[in-house]
Amino acid sequence: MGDLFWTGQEIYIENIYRPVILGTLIFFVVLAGALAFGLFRHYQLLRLGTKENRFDQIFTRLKVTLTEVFAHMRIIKEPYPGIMHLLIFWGTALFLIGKVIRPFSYAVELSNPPQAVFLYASLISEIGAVMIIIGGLLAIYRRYIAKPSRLDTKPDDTLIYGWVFIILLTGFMAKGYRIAAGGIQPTDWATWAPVSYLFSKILPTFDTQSYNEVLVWHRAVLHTLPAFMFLLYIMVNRSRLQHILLTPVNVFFRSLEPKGALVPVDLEKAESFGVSKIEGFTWKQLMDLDACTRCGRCQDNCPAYLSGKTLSPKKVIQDLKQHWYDSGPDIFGMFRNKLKGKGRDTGVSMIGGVITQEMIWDCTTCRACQEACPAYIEHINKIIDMRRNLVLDQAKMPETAEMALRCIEERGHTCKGTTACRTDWCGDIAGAKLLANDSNVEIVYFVGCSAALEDRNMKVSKAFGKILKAANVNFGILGEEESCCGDPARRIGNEYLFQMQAMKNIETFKKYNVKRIVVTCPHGYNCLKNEYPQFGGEFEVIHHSQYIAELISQGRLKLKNNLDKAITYHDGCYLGRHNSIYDEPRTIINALPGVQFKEMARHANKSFCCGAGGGHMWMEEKTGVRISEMRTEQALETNCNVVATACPFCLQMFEDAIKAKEASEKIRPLDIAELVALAIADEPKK
Amino acid sequence: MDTFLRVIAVLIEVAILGAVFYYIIAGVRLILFDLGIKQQHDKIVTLFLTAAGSLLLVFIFSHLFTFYPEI
Repeated sequence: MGDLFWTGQEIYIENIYRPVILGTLIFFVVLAGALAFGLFRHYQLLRLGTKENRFDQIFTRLKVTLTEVFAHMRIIKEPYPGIMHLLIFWGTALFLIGKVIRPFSYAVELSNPPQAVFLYASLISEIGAVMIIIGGLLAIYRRYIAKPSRLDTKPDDTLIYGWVFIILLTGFMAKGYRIAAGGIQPTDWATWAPVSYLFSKILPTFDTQSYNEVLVWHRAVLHTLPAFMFLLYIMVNRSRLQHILLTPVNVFFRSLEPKGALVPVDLEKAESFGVSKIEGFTWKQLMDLDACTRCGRCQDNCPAYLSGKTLSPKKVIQDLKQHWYDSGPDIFGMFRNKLKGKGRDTGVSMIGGVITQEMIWDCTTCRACQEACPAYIEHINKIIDMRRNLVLDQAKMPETAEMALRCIEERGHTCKGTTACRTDWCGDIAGAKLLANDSNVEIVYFVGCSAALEDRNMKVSKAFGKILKAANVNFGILGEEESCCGDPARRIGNEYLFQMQAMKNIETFKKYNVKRIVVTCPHGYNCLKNEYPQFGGEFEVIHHSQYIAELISQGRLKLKNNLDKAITYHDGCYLGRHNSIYDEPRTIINALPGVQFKEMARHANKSFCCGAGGGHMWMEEKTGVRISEMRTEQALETNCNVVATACPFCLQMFEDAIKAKEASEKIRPLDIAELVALAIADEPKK
Repeated sequence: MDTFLRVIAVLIEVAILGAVFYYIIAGVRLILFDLGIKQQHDKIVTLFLTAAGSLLLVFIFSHLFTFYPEI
């Protein structure tokens, strides 16, 4: 097999490929220099950012990075671009493995590594090249014919498709000429270099050996030259191709903190709040900008963008990136080392100039962008940092948001104009103890502002109270000692007010030696579970969907009434994407007698926001379509007569949107607690 | 017929080699701008690189016509 494969080839390998390989090795030194230069450029840009520790849990980071890189776990979630990228990635990997092995195997006398390695290397590099071509054609079809709106095409994008194709074509031609010029056509060329063998059949050669040598020389050089220039281009030019290096590094340094937790501000040490200049971001926040490949998945999942607002998460990242590059040291300045922590003045302010205030306030912090991003870019913390600056340094925010913050400051809740007090909802529920009277309880129910003070959501707290009573749970409430959890303040950008609220509640919990807390609001749940530990508030926090599911599984609740309903479930962002609670609400709904459950097209981690997160419960939607109405339309498409939620904000948004769409006859929003209360009631209501 | 086929083959080769140099030169152009050459110099940079590329192509074209196997 091997003899045939080499027959007639020695002269070309000895006289042509050996010098080419030696030349290549010299060029490798140039490439190493280019790589060092390229990395140094990024390093100098990253030095503009502030400090942040992302070097903990190295093995966990490494594990996810390798999984993402080699298995494409996130990318493959969208089949077409996923398979396309997988073909290009693995095609390139095989191609390069084959390329690296082949030059060295003959030079070491065919047997070390064994000659068979050469044969397999030849084959896998050809398979790799074919995979790249198929993946590339899929990419070309998508970018230039299908043209999804999320893709923008720059000159660099077009260039690389053609460039890669030319490299592969000249590679097949180089080997094809070698086969043709060998004069002998051994049969096993077809096995070990099938594509090049086909090329050899159509390529003309000379009768004279010396001419053929020159011919093969030409081919070898004309393949090697664009290939090395391409590698040089990748290493020096800050194009999207650098994601080959930068994206895995960004995945490695991703946040390992709870998904729903924002980074706290040290209020005592901070000289200014939030971020108003690009160098105010941490190095990791800046690295995010470098890792973006403009794939647009974030934009395709952003409720603000899809409802016609000015915000596009992709645009935010790209605009910040350009601003960062413009603010960074120039090609000579980066060696002078004078710009550490201080960017060049571009004459454009980041907030207002690069990113408009409208964009900053459009974000609902739903996390759909982050969940979709294959590069693990963290969009929310940048937007919140800019909000913090607007609110705390510049006192600029939407008027209605300001009113909500003032309400928290003055009254400890967000429900402006309410006349209710925090214990009104439990008037007829025996068993609800005030901790002030008796703190010896199994669990504390942190009711939250909406469920305690707002008419529609008081029905949810009542329903949950009845469930607890039916299950004989010894539970307590804080009553008037309970204060807003602080989530609206933190998401709007008033970190100071959030920390005040957090400290106040933590102090109250500690006063009563509270260990276990159940919450009906996912925003409160997220705050208490993921953010209070930042201030010493370590408690076991459970969402009511988890707790009800637990009571059902323990047999403490008897679901006896046939509800006769078709139900769809809306995953609230702060329960789902921020805290990965997807199963328990569905377990409860499926346990209800007489219920037909149907998923919406967008569900679980692909769920569509109701439009209330990120402080938007207290902001007007002035541009585009109402997000809540879009979500209601999606719920109506299921033809269900109930849209179940497990979040007071979502419930309120559905109530308003269903009324606005005049769809009250078709569908009704209910909290899962209300559904369970119907199923356990002695006198069931329709 | 052979001469005709040879001309066609040479033209295909020239197209491929032209593409090789086009991509290299276009890549160099993008690198130059990324390294800090201002967009206002775009015209002169593009002209210079186009001239260099054209010269290379003329050389390759003439070389291929004189040195190319008979078909």
